[in-house]
Amino acid sequence: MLKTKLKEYRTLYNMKQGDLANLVGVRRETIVHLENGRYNPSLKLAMDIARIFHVTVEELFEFVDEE
Amino acid sequence: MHEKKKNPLAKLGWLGLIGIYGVFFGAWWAICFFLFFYLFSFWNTTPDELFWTGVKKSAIIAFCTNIVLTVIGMLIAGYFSLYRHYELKLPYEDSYTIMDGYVSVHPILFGQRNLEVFFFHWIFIITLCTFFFSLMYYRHKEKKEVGEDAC
Repeated sequence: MLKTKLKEYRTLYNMKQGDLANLVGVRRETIVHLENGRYNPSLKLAMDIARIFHVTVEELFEFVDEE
Repeated sequence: MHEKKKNPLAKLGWLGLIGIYGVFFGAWWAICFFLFFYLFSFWNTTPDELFWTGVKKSAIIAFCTNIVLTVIGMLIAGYFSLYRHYELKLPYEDSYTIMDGYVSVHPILFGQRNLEVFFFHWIFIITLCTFFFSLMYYRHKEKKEVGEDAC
């Protein structure tokens, strides 16, 4: 299962979902799905988002073993 | 900021015009092409990876539906062929005659061909409907989760 700190970083940067979506070239729905852990991003999208927040992909996304 | 990309799937909406052909020329199976007009609703939708994931899932469901129905349809139509060959002992070449520009067909072959055409039409319609209803379902699922946009 993919866990993400996307919402935390977005809040830290005082950014709306729509703003982040526009910056990385996706729809707001995609950012919502990412934050809810309902969608696994492609490597390119993950790296684009990580670059926005000046963090690594590993700091932003984490795979957790399902119990 | 990324430039807004055009949605290539939306352009396939023009295939809906084939449905008009179906209405005017009595090709009832072509009326299902009107479903393609639904694709115009994606005109302003950014074709991002989540969008294409939904399209791929819908296409896979429609493809699997098509395969299953085609196998069932052909097995049923094929039964007529087996019946003709083994029960009636009537080879395909003897199932029809051509005389004076007219073709006379044995009823069993006529029935088999009609059944094959029937299945072709309906499997095509069901496949198309499966694709579009799956697409609508995934789109609805995406929109349902979107709440208020706040920092």
